[in-house]
Amino acid sequence: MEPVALFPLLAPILIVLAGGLLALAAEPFLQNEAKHRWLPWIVACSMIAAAIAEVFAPVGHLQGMFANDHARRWLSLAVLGAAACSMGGLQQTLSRDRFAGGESYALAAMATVGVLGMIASLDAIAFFVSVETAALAIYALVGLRRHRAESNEALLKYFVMGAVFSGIFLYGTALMYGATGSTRFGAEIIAGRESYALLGAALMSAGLLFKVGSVPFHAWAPDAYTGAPVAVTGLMGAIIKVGGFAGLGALWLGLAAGHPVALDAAIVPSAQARMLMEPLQLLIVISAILSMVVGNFAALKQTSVRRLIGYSAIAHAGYMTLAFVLPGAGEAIDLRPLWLYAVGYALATAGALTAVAALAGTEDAKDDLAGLHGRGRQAPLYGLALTIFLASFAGLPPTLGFIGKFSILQQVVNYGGWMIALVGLVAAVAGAGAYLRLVVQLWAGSPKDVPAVGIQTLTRWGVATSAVLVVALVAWPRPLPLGKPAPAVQAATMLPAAAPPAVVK
Amino acid sequence: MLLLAIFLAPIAAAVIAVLAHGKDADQGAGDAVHRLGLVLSLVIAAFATPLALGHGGAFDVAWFSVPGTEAVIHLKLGTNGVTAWMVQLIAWLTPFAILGGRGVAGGRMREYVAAIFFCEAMMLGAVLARDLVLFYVCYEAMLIPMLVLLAIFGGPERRQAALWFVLMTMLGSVPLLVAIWVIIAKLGTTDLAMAIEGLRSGAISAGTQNWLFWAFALAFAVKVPLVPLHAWQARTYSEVPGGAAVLLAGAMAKLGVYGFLVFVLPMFPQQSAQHAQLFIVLGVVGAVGGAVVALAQDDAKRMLAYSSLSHLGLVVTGIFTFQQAALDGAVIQMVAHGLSAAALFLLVGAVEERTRSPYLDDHGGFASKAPLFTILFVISALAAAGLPGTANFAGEFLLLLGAWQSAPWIAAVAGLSVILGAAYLLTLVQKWCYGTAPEGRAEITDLTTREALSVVPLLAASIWLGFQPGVISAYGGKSAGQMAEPARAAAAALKAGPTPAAVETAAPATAEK
Repeated sequence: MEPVALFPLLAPILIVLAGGLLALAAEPFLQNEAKHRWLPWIVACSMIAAAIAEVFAPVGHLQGMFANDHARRWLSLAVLGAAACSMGGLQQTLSRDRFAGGESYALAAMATVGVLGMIASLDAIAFFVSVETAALAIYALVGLRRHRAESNEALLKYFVMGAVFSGIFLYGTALMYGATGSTRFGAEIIAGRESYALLGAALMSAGLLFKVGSVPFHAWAPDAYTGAPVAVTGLMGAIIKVGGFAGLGALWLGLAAGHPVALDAAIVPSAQARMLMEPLQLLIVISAILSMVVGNFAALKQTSVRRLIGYSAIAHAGYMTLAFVLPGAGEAIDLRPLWLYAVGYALATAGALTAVAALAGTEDAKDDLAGLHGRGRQAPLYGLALTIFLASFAGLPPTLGFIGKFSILQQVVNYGGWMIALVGLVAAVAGAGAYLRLVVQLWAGSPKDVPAVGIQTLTRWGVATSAVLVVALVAWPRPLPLGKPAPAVQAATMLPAAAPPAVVK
Repeated sequence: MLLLAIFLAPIAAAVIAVLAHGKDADQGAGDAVHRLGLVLSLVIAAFATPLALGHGGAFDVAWFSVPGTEAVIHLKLGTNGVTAWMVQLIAWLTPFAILGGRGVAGGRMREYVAAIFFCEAMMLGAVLARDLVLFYVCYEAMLIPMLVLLAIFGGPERRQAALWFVLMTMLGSVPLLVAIWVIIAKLGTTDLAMAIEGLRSGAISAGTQNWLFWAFALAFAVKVPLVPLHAWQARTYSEVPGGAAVLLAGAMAKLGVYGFLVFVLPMFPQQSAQHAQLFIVLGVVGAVGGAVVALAQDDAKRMLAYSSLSHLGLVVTGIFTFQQAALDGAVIQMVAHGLSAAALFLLVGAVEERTRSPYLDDHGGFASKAPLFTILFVISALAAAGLPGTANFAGEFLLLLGAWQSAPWIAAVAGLSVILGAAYLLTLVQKWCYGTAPEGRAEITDLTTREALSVVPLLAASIWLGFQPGVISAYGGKSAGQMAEPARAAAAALKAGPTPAAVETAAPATAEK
């Protein structure tokens, strides 16, 4: 990884930021209707421009603080795609509800900026700032419907718990700093301070597992997902999880390598690093198994689509966390299956919830199983797309969801964990039952009454593009981060760490 | 390239059907989509026909690689006699599925045709696949269109039926996927031929191989279905609309049998031979039990479901005898049962469409009111019952002959299913076609030309193949024989007892463990 200049590396982030600020500046000068007509387009166009910039962004790092590599590029593209798709859902929801004010679009742009920063971070402090940028924007979006009790409940729960876990993450970072003298993701541990490093890494992992909604840090997820407007649920579910996993991946690979690395690098951990990672692995794997089982089986009982997706998000966090199962001694850690899964997950989640947002009517009153009865017939584009997204959640081929589950669980079997894979698959079948119930509902019969729709163009394009990508990337997966792993970064090419603090005897 | 074209053409056809313009609620547009689908499916079937003559070659291109292993998943397609005849069955049944759907689909022809084409593509992909992952992808993906067909066009209990069907089939496939991962992890390949080679070389211990065998067998046993795993079948068949049943009962169920022939026997000859008795018994129980249960049904579609259970049970029994005659019979019967089941489901579907009732006791006297229906129904029933002169006779005769060569008791018991088959099918014919209509029932109208045309070619094919079964067995039976050869040898070795040679070959496996 070579040092590169600020501008091409961070151009995508800056472009989205500019789009968000422009939307914010333009907002007071527009009539209410015009706000919902123009602002989402400004933000969505900035995201598309950012995606183009991301394709051309160089691979390298900036002052050891931010970096770009093939995996990060794909994650950023997925986040930008998911966010742009969600803008359509948000536009439709707000214009249908005749919501006064258009700051929400700028907030969504800020959340995207934060998540792009999380993905790019090589340093815990840079990461923390990005997390808070994203989280504050998302909190505001979750509580958008101020007059609704469940919205307020969701906001409070999410905010308070989010603040606590931010504190836990920071505390972990502080301990890690004490153990290594550096806030980077990955640094040499000062001899004798391994226990601080372990505790620090454990607390940082706990903070990140909260962000991605893994059991037992999941209690906020179903409530926050239900309280938010459907379109916001899509945005939040898709992008925050990707950012959280990017952080967890950077932490994990950094621990293995002892210096910051590319997310698609294959790293053989040293014996010392394995000593540190094995206890952590236990935490992560137990969390993964619990998440898969709890998420999928609880999803079976839900009637509200938002709640169903909330539990399904927990289950998906479980599958993704399985990527952190350690290989045998002497073998390389390779997180690329995780990035593959995350790309598919982000596209499908944003697409599915945007489609539901389009179908759900004023105040999202019809987002439950009964409200979606027969809607596939009435709105075939959304129905077909939703079928594809749900099949992807269920891990059915030919969708990205299948390739993701396939790669992650294949790797687990490869490392000897075929029992874990079997549990994961059986849970997946239960989850499939939940999704298929929705598919059946969508296509059975004719709708009783069809609720109002808002402005549709952006929504249609977003949903259709996501659906096509979820299938087409399976037919032609070459561009995905699947080829040879990236060469590990040489410590020498990174900036030297700050001088370690004097060892206290 | 021909194989790739056959695989991709139905997908393209599905897309064309979706994009076909016009308000689909309007009758003319529905008819147009229907005609378009019919023409496209016939063109695809015509392109697939050369496969039966041994053409086709192979297609192989790298698809994607799995991180962490050497394995590169290939888009690899290949053909042999069994594959070729399965392709014929699927490709030629599709036009009839579309023809049979015009009545049920009504204003939603676009969805119907698209789902049928997607289903066809995935079934063709599954039979042509020579890569385990590609096979799995297609094998699972065919569930989605069938689920949509059930959900949109199914009977009153369709939600239950759809969930039973999809969840049981998926649960059956879970161990299959884990088994494929284990093969990737241990052998570093997903290529079928290389996996067979790797398994024979003893790179995987005997215990693991045993486990893999059960994983594969379970997935296919659910699909066939074999006896303890048949709970989804009657539920699903009785709810699925007539046209889609053509594909479901006619072709999709055969994929389980196909899996046993093309994957289980060549990959695990030793285990297949060891457990052959069990599968023979399960097959016989299915064959006889299914027939007995069919006799007790008062719903014609459920009766046909159990009839399928019975016929395919016999096929599995035949396969696990490893006799050449039975294998010839198995391939013939797969095609023959596809044709006769499709014809019966279409005819029962026609009755249900007119009267909303598939029950035996609700109808009577069709012979005078609907003579055309009666003629075709009687011929289909007799074909299904295995009347000499139909392909079913050739298939069942060879299956029983092979069973007799293996052990006379199998043929003696399994033969009961043929007699019982005649009994329930004739009961159905007698109740519906003769006697008088029950009080208060609307008179039935005879088949329309379209409906008659959708059945006649199936019966004609069945009769033609009944006189020329060699067309199938010469190529299909030969390939089946080749694939079963290692299993037959292993069974012979087992029967002969632990000869020095057998001990010698068994030794490396145990030593490795």
